[in-house]
Amino acid sequence: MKKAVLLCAMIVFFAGPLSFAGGPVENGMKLYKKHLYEDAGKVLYSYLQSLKPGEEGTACLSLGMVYLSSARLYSELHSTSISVHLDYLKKIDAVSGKAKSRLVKLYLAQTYLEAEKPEKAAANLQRFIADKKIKPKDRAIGKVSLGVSYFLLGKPKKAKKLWSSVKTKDPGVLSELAKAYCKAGLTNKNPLAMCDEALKIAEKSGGTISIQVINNALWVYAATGQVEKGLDLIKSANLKAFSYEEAMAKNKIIRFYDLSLLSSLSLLYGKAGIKYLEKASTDEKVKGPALYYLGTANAFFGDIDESSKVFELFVSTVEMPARYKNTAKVMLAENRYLSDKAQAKRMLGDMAQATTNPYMLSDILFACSRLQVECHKTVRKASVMVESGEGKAFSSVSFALGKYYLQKKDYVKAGFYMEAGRDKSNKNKIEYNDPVMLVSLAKAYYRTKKFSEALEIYFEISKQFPAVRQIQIAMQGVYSMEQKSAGDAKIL
Amino acid sequence: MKRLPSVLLLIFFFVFIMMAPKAGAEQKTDGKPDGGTLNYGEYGRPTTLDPITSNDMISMRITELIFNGLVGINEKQEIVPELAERWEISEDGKFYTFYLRQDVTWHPKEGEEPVPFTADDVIFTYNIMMHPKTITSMKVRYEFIESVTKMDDYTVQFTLKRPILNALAKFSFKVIPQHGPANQEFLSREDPFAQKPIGTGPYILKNITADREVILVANENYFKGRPHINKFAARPFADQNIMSQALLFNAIDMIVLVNHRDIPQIQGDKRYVLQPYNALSYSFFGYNIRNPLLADKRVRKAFTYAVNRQEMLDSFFNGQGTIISGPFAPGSWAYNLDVQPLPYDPEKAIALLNEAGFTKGDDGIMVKDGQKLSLTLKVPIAKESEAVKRVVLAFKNYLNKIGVDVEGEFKEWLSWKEDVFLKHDFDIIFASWVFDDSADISSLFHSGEIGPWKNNFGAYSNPEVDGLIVESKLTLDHEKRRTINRKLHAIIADENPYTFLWTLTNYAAFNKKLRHVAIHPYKFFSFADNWFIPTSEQR
Repeated sequence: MKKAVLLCAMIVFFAGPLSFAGGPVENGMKLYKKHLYEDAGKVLYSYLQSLKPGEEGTACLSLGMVYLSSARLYSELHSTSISVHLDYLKKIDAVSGKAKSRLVKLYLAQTYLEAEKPEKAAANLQRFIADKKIKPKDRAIGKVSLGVSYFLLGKPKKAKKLWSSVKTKDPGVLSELAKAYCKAGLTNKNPLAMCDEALKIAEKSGGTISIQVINNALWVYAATGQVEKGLDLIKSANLKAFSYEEAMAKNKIIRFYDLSLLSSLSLLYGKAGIKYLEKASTDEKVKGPALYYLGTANAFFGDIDESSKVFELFVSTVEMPARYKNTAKVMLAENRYLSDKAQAKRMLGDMAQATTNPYMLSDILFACSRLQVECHKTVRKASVMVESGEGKAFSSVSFALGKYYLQKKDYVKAGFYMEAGRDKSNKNKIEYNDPVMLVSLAKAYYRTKKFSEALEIYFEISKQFPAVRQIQIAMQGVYSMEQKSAGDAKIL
Repeated sequence: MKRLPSVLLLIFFFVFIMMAPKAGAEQKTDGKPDGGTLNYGEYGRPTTLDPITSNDMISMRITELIFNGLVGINEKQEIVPELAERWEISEDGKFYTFYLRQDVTWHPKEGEEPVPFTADDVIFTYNIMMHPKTITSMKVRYEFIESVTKMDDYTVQFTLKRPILNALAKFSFKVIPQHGPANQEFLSREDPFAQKPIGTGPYILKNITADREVILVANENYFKGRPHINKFAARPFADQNIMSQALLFNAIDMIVLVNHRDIPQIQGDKRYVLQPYNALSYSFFGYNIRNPLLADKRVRKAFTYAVNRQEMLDSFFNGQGTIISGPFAPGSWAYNLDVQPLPYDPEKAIALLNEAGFTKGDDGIMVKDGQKLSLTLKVPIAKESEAVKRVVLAFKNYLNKIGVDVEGEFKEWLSWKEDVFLKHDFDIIFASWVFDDSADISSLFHSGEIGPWKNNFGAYSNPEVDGLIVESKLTLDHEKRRTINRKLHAIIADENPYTFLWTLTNYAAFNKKLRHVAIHPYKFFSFADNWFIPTSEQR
C-alpha cells in the first residue's frame, strides 16, 4: 500500500504534456487519462503486434504508464481487501452451531497470509485440516497454505514435507502448489510447468477455468517474468468470480474470494510496466519520461538503489520542465531514508518550506505518508494552501493531506480532505477522480462506518475493475452486520 | 458456601444485562454561541408533522427536530441513550426493559405548564402506532413486539414475539405524548396533532406561516442542552432551480438536496459548503398492478426494455448517478451485484408486448381485446425541476415508440400523494424512495402492505416474495438474511413492479456561517442541536 501511493503524483505529470502518435496509442492514452486502465491496456497491448516504424518507444512508454497505474491501484485494492476481509471473515468465524461455515477458517488463514501474519494463518489452517468433514481437495489446499505459513515462519523443512504429501491432479491444488514452490524459490519443482499443466487440465475438463487456477498462474507467471503469458490469461478471465460458494441451508450461501488475486494483478502489471518502460528508455524520443517512470516503478517494487540511480540520471541529464525534476528530487530524498533517516527528513522539510508549488508540496506529503514520518510543518502549510486555492493542483494537495491522515489512522480528517479534493459533480466516477484517491477515500468511509458511501465508490470502480467484487461482497457483509437502523423507507 | 458462586453465575447468565452509560441531565458545555436563524429550503411541503402518519422525507426531517426515540444512533453507528437512559436485554433476547430519563418534559402548550415525559407516553405511542385504524407504514416494522408493560412511571418493558436481528435499533421510533392527539385510540392525518405536534426534541413547532413555512424555535429545556441555533425555518420551493438561486442570493442558508444542475455553480462559490450525504435512494417508474393492462409482468418488463436509462441519466442529470437493477440502492449491503440492469432494447420490448397479446392498432398504439395501451403518468409538482420534466417527456417518447400512449400529469405534492397512496388513482408514477441502512423493503413489496396510505401503492403481490420477506425478518443469521435479500433483488428485478431507474448523487449545500454541521445520511437533522452560527454572523 505504501508503495502504491508512490506513483500518485507522477501519473498526472506526463500524461498532460506528452504528445503521442495518433491512432491506437492516442486512443489508449485518452483512456488512460480517464483512468480506464484496463481498457487502455487492452488497446495498447493489442496494438504492439502491428506497430509502425518509430512508434515502439511511444507505445512502450504508454503501456508502461498504464500498467504501472494498474499495479498501483491493485496494490491499494489488495491492502483494502485484506482489512475488510479480516473484519468480515472474523465475524463469520465467530458464528457457532449448525450455521457455522466449514470453509471460513481456510479463507481467514489465507487472508492472514496476505496480511503477512503466518502465525495466525497456521493456527487457523491446523484447525481447518483437522476437520474430518471437509473435502479432500479443500484439505489439500489447506495443507499447501499451511506449508506456506511454515515457510514464512522460517520452517522450510516442515513446509517441504507438507507439500510433498500433497499428491494431486486437481488443477486448483496443483496451481496452489506451484505458487507455493515459486514463493519458496523451489525452481527445481518447475512451478511454471506445473501452472501450465494445471491450466491444461482445467481446459480439458471443459467449462470455465476457476479463478483459483487463474490467480495462481498469474502470480507464477509474473514472478517468473512471463508477463505476456499472464497478460494473455487475463484477457479471458472472469475477475469477479468467487473461489468457493458454500451452501449451508436453503437460503444461506457464503461466497469466498481469493484475496491474492489483487496482489497477483499488481505484481503482473508492475512487472509488465517495468519491462515496457525499460524498452521505452532506449528510445531517445521518450527517454526522459521513461526514466522518470522507471525510477518510480523501481521504488514501487522496493528496489531503492536502482530507483535512485535512474532518478539521478533523469535529474542530471534529461531536459524536462522543473516541475518533474522537483518531483524526482523529492523521490531521491525519500529514497535516502533507508540509509540516512535524519537527512532524508531534513531534505523533505527544507523542500517543503522552500516551495509554493502545490504539486511539489503534495509529493512531499505523499513521501511523508509512505515513510510514516511526522511532517507537521508541511501539513500546516498544505492545510493553509488548500483553504485558499482551488483547481486540480489543490485537489492533489487535498488528496495528499487525506492520505497523510489515513496513514495516521485519523479517518475523519482523511475523509474530510479527500472529499474536498474530489470532483463533486462526479463524485465517484473514476473518469474524473484518481481511482487510488477514491479507494483511499472509501477506506476512510469504511473506517468511519459510512459503508454506503464506500460501497457506492466500489460500485463505480467495478465497472472498469471487476476484480473489486471481492471487496464489495466482504464490505456488504460487514455493513449488514454493523448497520443499526430501524427499517424505514420514505418517499422522497 | 460452595453454592454461592454458582448462584451468582446463574444470575449473571440468566439475565444478560446490557447497560448503556447513564445519561444525566446535560447542558451544552461546548462553549459555542447560541443564536441566529437557519432558513432551509425544501422541495415541497410536509404532509404531516407527526412521526407516525408521515411517510415522506420532508416530514421526517422536521419530526427529527421535534421528537426523540427511546434510543438514538450516533455518527459512529452506535446505539446511544435518548429518552431511555439505559436498558437491559434478557439473555433469550425476548425482553427489552428501558429505564427512562426523569428530567424530560414535553414541549409546553401555550399558557400551560410543561408535562413530564413518562412510561405512559411510550405505551401510548406503541398502542396508537399499532392500532388497526392508524394509517402508518410503521406497523410492519413492529410486528415483532408481543406486548409492552409499564413497570413503573419511568420503566417500560417490551416483550418480543421472538428475538430478531438488530431489535434495539428499532426502539428509535419517535415517542409522542399521550396528551397530544385528540383521538386517544388511533391517529389519523386529520387529527390536529398531525399539524400541531408536541415533542421532547430540540425544537418546538411555533407556527406554520401563510406561505407554508414551518417555523421551529429552540427548546430551552431540551434534556441534552439547549440547541445553539434559535430558530429553524423550513421554506418550501415548488421549483428546485429557484431554491438554488435563493441560496446563492442569501435568501436561505441551506438546501437539503441540491439540484444536480446546480452542483458546479455551488461548488465554485466559496461562500458555501457542498456536503455529500449518502441517503440510500433511487428513482423509479412505479406501476399500478390493479390496472389489468399492467398486471402482466411482460408488459412491465417491456416498458423497462423500452427506456434508455443511461441516455436519460447522462442527458438530464449530467451522468451524476448510477443505473440500478432492482429494489435496493447500490450503496446498500443488500444490493445483488449479479443482477444487471436490463439493456435498452425497444425491439425486445415490442416482442414482449406482442407475446402478452398486444398488437399495433391503426393509430400505432398497442391494443389487446379492444383496449388501448393508454396510461396516465402522475408526477408530483414538487419534483418539477427541469430534469424531471425532461425525464417524464423522454419516458413518454420512449414508450410511444413501442406503441404505448402515456399522458403525463403533474400534480401538487399533497394531492399527488392522495391519488397514489389513498385513492390509488394512477397507472404509472415517477418517484423516489429513500431507505435507512436496514434495507427493509417489506413495506414496499409485501402483499400485506397493500391498502390506503401504505407503501405498496401499486398492489404488487407475489407469495414467494412475501415468504422471503417474512423469512428475512425471522432469521437471526446475518448471512442468511443477506442471501434472502439477494434472492429478493433477483425476483423483483425480474417482475418489474417498477422500472428501476437510478440512484443520484445527494448533496446538501449550506452557507459557511453554519458550523459544526454533521448530517445524518437518512434523517438529516439528527445532530442539528450541536450546529451553531458564530455571533458575528447571526442575523
